[in-house]
Amino acid sequence: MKLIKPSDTEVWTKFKNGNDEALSLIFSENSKKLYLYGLKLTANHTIIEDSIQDLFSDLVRNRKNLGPTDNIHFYLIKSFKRRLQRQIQKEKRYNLKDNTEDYVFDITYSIEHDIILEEKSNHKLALLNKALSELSSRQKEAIYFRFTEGLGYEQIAEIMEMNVESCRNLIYRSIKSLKDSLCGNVSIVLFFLTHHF
Amino acid sequence: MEKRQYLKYTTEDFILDREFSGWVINPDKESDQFWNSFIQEYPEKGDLVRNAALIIKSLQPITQEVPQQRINAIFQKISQSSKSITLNYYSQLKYVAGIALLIAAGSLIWLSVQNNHQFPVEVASGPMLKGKIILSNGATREFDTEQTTLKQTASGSLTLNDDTIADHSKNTTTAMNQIIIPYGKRSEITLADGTHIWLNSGSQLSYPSEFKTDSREVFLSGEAFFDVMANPHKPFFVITRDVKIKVLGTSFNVSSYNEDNTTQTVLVKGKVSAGKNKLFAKTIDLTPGERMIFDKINDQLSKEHVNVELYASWVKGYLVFDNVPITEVYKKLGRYYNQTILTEDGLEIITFSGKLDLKDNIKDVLDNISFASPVKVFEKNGTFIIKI
Repeated sequence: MKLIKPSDTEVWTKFKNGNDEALSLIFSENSKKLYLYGLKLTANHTIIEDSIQDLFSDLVRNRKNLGPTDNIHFYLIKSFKRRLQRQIQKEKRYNLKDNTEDYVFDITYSIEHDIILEEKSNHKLALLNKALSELSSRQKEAIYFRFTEGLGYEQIAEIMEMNVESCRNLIYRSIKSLKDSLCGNVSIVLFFLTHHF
Repeated sequence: MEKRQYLKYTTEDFILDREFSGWVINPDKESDQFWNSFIQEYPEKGDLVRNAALIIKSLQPITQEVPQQRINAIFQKISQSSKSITLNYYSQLKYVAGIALLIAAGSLIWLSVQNNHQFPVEVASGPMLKGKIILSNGATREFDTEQTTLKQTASGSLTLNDDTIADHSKNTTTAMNQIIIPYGKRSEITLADGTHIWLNSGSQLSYPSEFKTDSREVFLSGEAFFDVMANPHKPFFVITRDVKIKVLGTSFNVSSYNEDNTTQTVLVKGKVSAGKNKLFAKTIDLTPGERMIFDKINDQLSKEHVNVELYASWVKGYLVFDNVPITEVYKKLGRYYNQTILTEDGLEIITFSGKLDLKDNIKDVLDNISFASPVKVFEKNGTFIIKI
């Protein structure tokens, strides 16, 4: 038996027309991704869960009046981010001792965990790791949308409320700084080589 | 894409190329072949490609755990909130039903701490329309509940319509298999010892692929009718969340839905003794025709004489009621047909007696009830509403 995955447009239309199987599908395909994204913005599980619940409750309540979309995940993450940030701000207002930065995108990259590779690439990874830690929160977030969520520049720009050109630049500059960290490595090695022999 | 086009690519270009990053993150046979032959054909690009791949890999976040039970709970709340808004969304209740099992399973974790027996906990991913088997090795298999014969053979293999789906004959550990029946469906299973079990809608049964040497234990949530193969040397135990039933070859019905306030055991023939699922719990012996009720609210056990036909009839495809609150009737029918049936407040004072044929469609069954009782049936968007 061959399973044919229905298109986002199809599933969305079904959902709008009151089909509950579509709701269930949309929820199971997106809730985990939203949760994971939420964990990058806050460590407070309760407000992540509340935001997911509010988002879906509102969708169900307004299902008849929703606009069309051909990318459900994008549609959801855009709205989810707005809700979550509102909650985070609210939380901060009540917690005066909290003097953390205004905007944090807290991501742990897998290389920080598996630097058990061979010595040679180990050094490379350490350099890369350092470069990653120097990325700004906005850079990290844009990269996350691009490489983990698989979104396009237009969509990332819309979620991050910036124009497409600056979004493209933001991502390009981040990538370039990572690449430079590796190539810097090469020139350091060359420097040592030429000075020792 | 042509390989040549990649020749003028910089490291950054490779990283931002969807085809390339797709290969690094999620390689398949086709992309593997393409990129490996690219590196072979243009070895001077090797370093550049390797750096690009390294950077893409470094951008992957660590795998974080998401609390699936919390997510399931959110889905349940969403379904509930939608029903309180407008009647249109009542049909969603059937998904709530599917999920209610999971929620109940969640609370079992806590319960198992106090109880004599560890209750197997299952965390499924979402609403289901098919029956599901979770094998002891973690593999799952869905099945159509209507025409399926499940059989656990004495040699340790589990068959579904004569197809072997799990073979534990080489395995010495006694791990648990789990069968999950969604609301609106029913199924039957024959265990290795010849015991036959009918599982009613919305039930879960866990049993070891091979029984222990001194006893046979199965775990149930929901409702099941047991026809246990006699073996005085190896007593058969049915363990529910709050009751433990000891059997010495007999047939009886157990109803232990988590959403019900009571767990009921009705004995048709043979002999069972039952008690709370606690260490050193006092047990009550049942003789044929008796029903033991465990009241979850008062934490009390009691027994009484009943007409067994009323409790075992669902196995044969009909339901018999004798002077029961009509709301109970609708609750059972709702489960059996996986239908939302809403009852008006005050309806519980009406009682119902009669036999309902479950081969009829739900509409006919409901019409039959209102023929015999002072109630009216309304249908709106697939939901039935019962009024006086």
